[in-house]
Amino acid sequence: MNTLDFHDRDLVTNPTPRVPVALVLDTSTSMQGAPIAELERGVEVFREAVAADEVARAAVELAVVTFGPTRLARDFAPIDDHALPALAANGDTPMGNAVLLALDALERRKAEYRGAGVDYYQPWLVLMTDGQPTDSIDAAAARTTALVQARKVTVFPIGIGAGADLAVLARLSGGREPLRLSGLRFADFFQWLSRSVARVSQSVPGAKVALPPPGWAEV
Amino acid sequence: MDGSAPLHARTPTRGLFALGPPLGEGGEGSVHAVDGGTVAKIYRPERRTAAAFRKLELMLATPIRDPRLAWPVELLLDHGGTPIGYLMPRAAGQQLQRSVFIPTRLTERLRGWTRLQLVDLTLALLDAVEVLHRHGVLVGDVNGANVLVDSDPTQVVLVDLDSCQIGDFRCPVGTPPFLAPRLLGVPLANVVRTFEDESFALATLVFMILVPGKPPYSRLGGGDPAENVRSGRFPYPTVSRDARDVPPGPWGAIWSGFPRVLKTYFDDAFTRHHVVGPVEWRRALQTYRLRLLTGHTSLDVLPVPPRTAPVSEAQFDDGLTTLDGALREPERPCSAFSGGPLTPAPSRPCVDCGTGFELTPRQLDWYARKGLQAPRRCPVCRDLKRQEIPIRYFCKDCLTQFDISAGEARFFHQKGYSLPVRCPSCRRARRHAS
Repeated sequence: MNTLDFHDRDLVTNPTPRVPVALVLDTSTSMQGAPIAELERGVEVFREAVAADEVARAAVELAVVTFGPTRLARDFAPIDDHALPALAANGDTPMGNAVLLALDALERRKAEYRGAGVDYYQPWLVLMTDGQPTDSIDAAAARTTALVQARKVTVFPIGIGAGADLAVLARLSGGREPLRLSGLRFADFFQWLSRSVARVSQSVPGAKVALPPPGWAEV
Repeated sequence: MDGSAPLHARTPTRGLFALGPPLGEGGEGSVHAVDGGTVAKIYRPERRTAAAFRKLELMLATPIRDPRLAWPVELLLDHGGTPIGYLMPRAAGQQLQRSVFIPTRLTERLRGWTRLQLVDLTLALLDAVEVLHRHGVLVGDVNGANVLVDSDPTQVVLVDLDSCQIGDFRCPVGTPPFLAPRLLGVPLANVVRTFEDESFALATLVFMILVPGKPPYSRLGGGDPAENVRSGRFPYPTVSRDARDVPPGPWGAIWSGFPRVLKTYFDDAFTRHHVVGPVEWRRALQTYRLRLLTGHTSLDVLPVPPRTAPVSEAQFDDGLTTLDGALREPERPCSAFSGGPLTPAPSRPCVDCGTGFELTPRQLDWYARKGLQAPRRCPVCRDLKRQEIPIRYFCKDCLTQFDISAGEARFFHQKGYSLPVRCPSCRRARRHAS
């Protein structure tokens, strides 16, 4: 943190208040095939949509945590900074661990913002999974609940397919009702996410966080 | 996009006409082209309330016509004659938040802009807002999306004025960091904004134009924009207060280039919550403009920041926060500078303006070796004499531009007067009045 590398340069020259977004994505074996391919495409849709809006592009910083195995596939950086990680499905589902990893990455980045005098909005953590956790989520649930109550993070839990356990997701969302993705409509979801995140970054009157999402969620 | 926007609409004067495709969409509705000079704002169905149209009628009854204000000119109706929105003059340009506030956009979109254009932009904005104030209207929701700028900074336009505060109608929206601290977290639809609230928002906007994109309360150890305002900690140094948590980047260098009067007004606004009026702002900005013209301070919109590393959190409040070396530079001699440490060179009075300036022994030696007389004028007067660049202002009364030649500027500076704020004809008219 003491060397002025590319990321730090952006912190010093770009005054836009940041919107950190952490994607915590299930890459367990059950996601093999169409699901992981669509998810990868969806993340690219998100990147493109955000980069297409000047304000969002200057504001949004993206991190990607994949699980299993748990990995910080991309640490927080401006959206255009470098290529998105490829996603490969092969592992179990250590969801608790992954959420904790994402929260740690978030805390580190917030400390960097504070050290650089950069403003930042409440971060978003998007958790997407198609199944049951294979580790304990107690610690992660306690931490997200406390953070959501203190208005330090917004968690969006999304279940993929019939096997996703929405009750577990609800424990990790600090109160927000989890939604189930309709089919494999990742692209639609990420389009909606990019618009919602862009709204946070811009001066738009009215609700900042999305109302019932259209289209991509199952009713 | 929005299924409720009709393809045709009518107004009392134009009859039925076709609407163009949407030029933009927002939370309230969409904006469509009508003809070369006019656009229509169509509200979403839920926004089409009786109160909204009563407010528009009051706005229509208020005769505001200024190219810098996208003020409603007519009510827009559907085929059946039900109000759905309004017509206003078309505005060209980019939102501040998409141009001036983003460094790469600033240098790409507004190519060739120097700090002079930034100052001219703030002056034009303050003048435009004053037109509203003279009619008893407050902008209310001042923010980076409501101000459109084009390559000519004097052609700024304020848009989304239907959220203004007029008569008994409130301004229901506001945006940090422009919202005055007392309004943070308050339901704005119930609040009567005061002139102080508006002045705070304008001071913030002027700051964020001159220090491009950087909110005034943004500092080391800060958080989200609203939190920062609530903290009340304005980081930049003044004569009476050292720097505290100034964020790294070009911001500190830009601040140190401001004349003392401008720093004082910003500090008054953000630390003491006392904002001066438009006449004072205009004078302070024109003083800054003079400093820029005379080479007193850099013309770069974004001076290259010194190579510093972000600090660790432990270092914030124990005095190690003046990261920007530029903050320590002593002011050049011959400003109205009193107190504080000065270099111990002999001071001599400028023959034109009388203020003292220093010449170091080394400089005196240079002149002697060249067989030249040492300069008798301070650097400012020397520059003014050398340059023939006229200075352009807006007349406070008639809003037209007028120029002050270098010779005239020298005259005012010598006499110790501040530069005039009215054009020659209005100055004459005032002298002959009453």
